[in-house]
Amino acid sequence: MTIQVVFQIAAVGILVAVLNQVLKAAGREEQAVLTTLAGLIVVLFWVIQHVSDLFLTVQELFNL
Amino acid sequence: MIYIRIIGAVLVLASCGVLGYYYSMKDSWRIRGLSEMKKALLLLEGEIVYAHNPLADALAKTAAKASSPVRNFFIIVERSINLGFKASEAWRDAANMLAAHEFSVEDVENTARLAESIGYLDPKTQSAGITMLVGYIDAQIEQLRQSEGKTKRLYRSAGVIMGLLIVTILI
Repeated sequence: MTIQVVFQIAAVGILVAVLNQVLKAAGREEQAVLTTLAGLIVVLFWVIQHVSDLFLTVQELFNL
Repeated sequence: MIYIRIIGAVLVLASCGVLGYYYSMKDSWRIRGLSEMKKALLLLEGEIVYAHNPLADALAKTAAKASSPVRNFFIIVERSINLGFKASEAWRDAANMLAAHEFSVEDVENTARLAESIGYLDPKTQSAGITMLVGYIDAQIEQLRQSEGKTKRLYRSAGVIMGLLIVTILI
């Protein structure tokens, strides 16, 4: 896992937060929620493989 | 390789920004189109009610003082009437052409509704129909002016932010 993933997640988080505020200010709360959910799904998509690797590593480490 | 990525990122950002800018200007263009249509309808009303001109002449004179696409609309109706088509059919068909420009579906439907009175009822009833359409246009312009500023800011910022998001995800 490179540090680039961390920066990408941070950038997506900031941009989604800004877009959320912009949409809320324009009175489009439903679209703001959808945008936040979409950002969350994209980040989960990146992270899920690493989380799976983490669990496997812990399992191997402790012979579980 | 890095240069191609940078060029791609710039292209994606620019295109999203331009798309946001295009959507932000739609309301302004619609206001401009509706204002032109209102001016032309008031001129047409004057030609029918006060000058008592035949419909084809009234449409030609109105078209001469209007600007595109409203001018084209009146020219198409006038030519269709001169070719022998019924005024109501000509008006309705020409109104459907407006959908390709800055007018919304609702604007086109309301304009087409005037076909029921234009050209064959008495001048007073035609004037009432035109007044009703002008009233609808005024209400739409008022509504658009109130939401114009907010919508412009939303689409412009959303365009740039979406561009940045796409670049971040694809990089």
